[in-house]
Amino acid sequence: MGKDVILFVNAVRPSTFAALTTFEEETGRMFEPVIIVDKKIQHSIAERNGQKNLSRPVKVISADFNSAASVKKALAPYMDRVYAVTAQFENCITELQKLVPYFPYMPMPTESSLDWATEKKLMRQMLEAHSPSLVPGYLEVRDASADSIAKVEASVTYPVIVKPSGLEGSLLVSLAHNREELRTTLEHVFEEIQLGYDTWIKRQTPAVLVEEFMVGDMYSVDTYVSPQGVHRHTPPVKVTTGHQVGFDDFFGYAQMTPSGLSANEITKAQQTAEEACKALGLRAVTAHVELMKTAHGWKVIELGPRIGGYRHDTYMLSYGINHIVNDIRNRAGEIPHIPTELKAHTVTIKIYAPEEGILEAANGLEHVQRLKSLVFVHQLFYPGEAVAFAKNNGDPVFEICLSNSDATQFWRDVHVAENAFSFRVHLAEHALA
Amino acid sequence: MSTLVKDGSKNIAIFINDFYPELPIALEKLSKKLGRPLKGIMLIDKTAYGQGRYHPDTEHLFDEIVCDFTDPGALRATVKTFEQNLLLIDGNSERSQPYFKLVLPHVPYVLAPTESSLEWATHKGQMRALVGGYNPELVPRVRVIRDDSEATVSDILSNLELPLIVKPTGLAASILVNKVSTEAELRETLKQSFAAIHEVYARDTGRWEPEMIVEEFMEGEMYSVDLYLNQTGYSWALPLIRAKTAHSMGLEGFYEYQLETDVTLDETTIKAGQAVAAEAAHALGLRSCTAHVELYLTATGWKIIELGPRPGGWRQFLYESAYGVDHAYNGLLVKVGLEPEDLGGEPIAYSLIANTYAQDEGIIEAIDGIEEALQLLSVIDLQAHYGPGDIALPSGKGGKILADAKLSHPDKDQLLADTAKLRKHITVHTKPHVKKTK
Repeated sequence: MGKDVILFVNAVRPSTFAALTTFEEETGRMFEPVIIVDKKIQHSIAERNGQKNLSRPVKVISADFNSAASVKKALAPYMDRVYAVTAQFENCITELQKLVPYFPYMPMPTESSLDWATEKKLMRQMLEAHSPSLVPGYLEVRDASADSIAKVEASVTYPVIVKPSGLEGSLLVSLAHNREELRTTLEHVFEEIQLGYDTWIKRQTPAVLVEEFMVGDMYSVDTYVSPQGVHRHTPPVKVTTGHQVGFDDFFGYAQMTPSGLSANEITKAQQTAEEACKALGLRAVTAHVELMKTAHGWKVIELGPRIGGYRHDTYMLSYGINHIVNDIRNRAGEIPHIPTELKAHTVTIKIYAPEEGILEAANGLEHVQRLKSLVFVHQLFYPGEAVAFAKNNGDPVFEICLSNSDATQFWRDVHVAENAFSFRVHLAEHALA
Repeated sequence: MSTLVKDGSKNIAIFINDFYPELPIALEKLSKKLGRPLKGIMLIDKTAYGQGRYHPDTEHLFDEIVCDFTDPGALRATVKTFEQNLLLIDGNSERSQPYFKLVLPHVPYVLAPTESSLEWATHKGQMRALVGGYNPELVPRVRVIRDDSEATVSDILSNLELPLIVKPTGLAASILVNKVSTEAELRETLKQSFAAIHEVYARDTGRWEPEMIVEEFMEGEMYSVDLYLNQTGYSWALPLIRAKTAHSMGLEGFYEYQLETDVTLDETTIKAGQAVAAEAAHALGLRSCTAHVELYLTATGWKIIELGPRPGGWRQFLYESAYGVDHAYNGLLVKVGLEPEDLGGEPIAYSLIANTYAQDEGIIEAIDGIEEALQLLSVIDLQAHYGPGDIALPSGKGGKILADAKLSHPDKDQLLADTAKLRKHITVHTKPHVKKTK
């Protein structure tokens, strides 16, 4: 029997089916996707990671991931057929880590590297030990007390970024310019952090980091790290944060390819991503590395041992890179195919409501639906539902993807899409409370 | 061929904590095979170093790096200094496994076991659960216990059949291993074991919280086999070694009284034993290591007693003198993705290890007969590990080996005659050990 089963830990990204079909048609190889999920979070992860309306039925097997007997029993019918094991979401890495020792004869990351790559404090410790220039100054804090603030002020200088150690993206991430802002921000984060961990199905103990704010432009690179430690990089993506477009928030407002970086800077960005992967001892994974181009060189913001959000669509449209399949092939020990010739300009944009509260009206969708560059627009919230900013555990109201080989048309459509929406929100003390 | 072998820049071999004299010889052979000079480095945990819990490289044949293994940042910075040239890494002793586990995630691009497999293989309770889950026929029924309460005793008696073996989960070398045949013996042994276990764990740096396992006693003969497992799980087995326990010789304790290369088993039984050992290694997901597997040959087939992700003690001598197999060299070959070169065919000699433990508790006055024993034709080496003034304890009470002798001779009769003489020569004189009372 051949190796034809791809195991997805906890959940599968909806784009996976089309990505696999493309690969199957190109190569004649056929694969069966199978989800293996921890029983304890099966329902919540399906809800959170959009598994209830997948375009294709997928075999789901479940097990108690804390029981070797349960995991081995669940895997037994598939063990001889498994081609690769992948975790496509940040909130599935804990379960990937638990599965690693059950696949000793396949390429897999080390268990500890997955800890290091998901806990921001550990990540910074390792990055700093590998190369101090990779990361800004930081400190872990356990409360908003005067003592904690004094320790922060002794270690880093304002302005500072406050962020949970174990949450990805911009959840509960805030900027503080002075002592008073730091105190109120820490109080808020410590009030909300458990909710954030619960919402995103994170199993770690909540912790908070305060680090020096880096001034610069944000980019990301997804890097395929082979089982032998060969690093192969995708082209950089230019990231515009919510903060840059006027929100008091640091979510990734827009992700765009091409990045506009020179060949020299692309090389530097990819080298920095590679150093970050080495620092964490990653292997047999795709690493999503967020970077900041500062006046003092390239710095690492975050790293996740999985493909970046929207990156499959972005890379496929702009370069013809089948990112989801590359991730799987790389984990199986094969060489990913990474074309770099630009086919189209592509952007994904998250549109948040300008205020938090109960959404009463969201207008402008029909304008966006008419755009020539439109790939998709998803509406995640409807009138009557509560909306919140990213830093307060909220999601965007709309997600848009635009792509066009005609740069003029692309930029025209981007301008329309960014200005098309208007909202009416009934203000509430806290939308999610 | 593995990329590690082909890449001429890979020239560093790391050994964790414990140095053994066979390592530089094996590394030199590997160097000749690969056609490039190789450098050995002892990577030693700072705490183990400070407490003297490591085998030093007294002749300084390898470089030495001391680092705090509990600080991931310190390890990362240390590993960065040699990772570009790293060819292989090895943890050769049972006690180095927890340290090896801490280093593993920092060296992801060399061939090595998973972190969890090292944990599973060295925790007797987890090992039995995983091997039993893989094939229930391979292990006896077992209970893991943390106290000697009435509820614990009741649980044992209602789930297991006497006689039973009581042993700690996190200690090696048959320390605190006892057999009980009655409920009264069980209660007394549990009481004594839990009274002594904290002290023995502290002395021997036992792992995890002190706990015991109680398992059904297996009637049979004890053997061991060392395996090589490559990165895909393919295994190569060496010849079986017969282990005569003290219990089987009518003495107190379950320590290895004598290890013998002459097993007198038929080929089918040997193959079955080697296959069972490989099954156990696969049950624990072991790879890219040497595994030492202890087995019992019972009336109902081969059973697993213990398994360690490292070479067995004295095996370098036993396999080399009896079969011409360089065990350490084979282990290094597997670590770089190559096949072991010699698995031993017809024996070139008969070899054995004769161990001496204390039979009674007391203070050692003298260990006599060593000089006479060294004159025997078959005796290659004889080491006394304790001397006058040291406390002698039976193994069942936490005592360790007092003396071990290596014997080998092409003539089996000569070997057996010399072994009998050696046993007569070596005598341990003790006087009563009066414990201070508070």
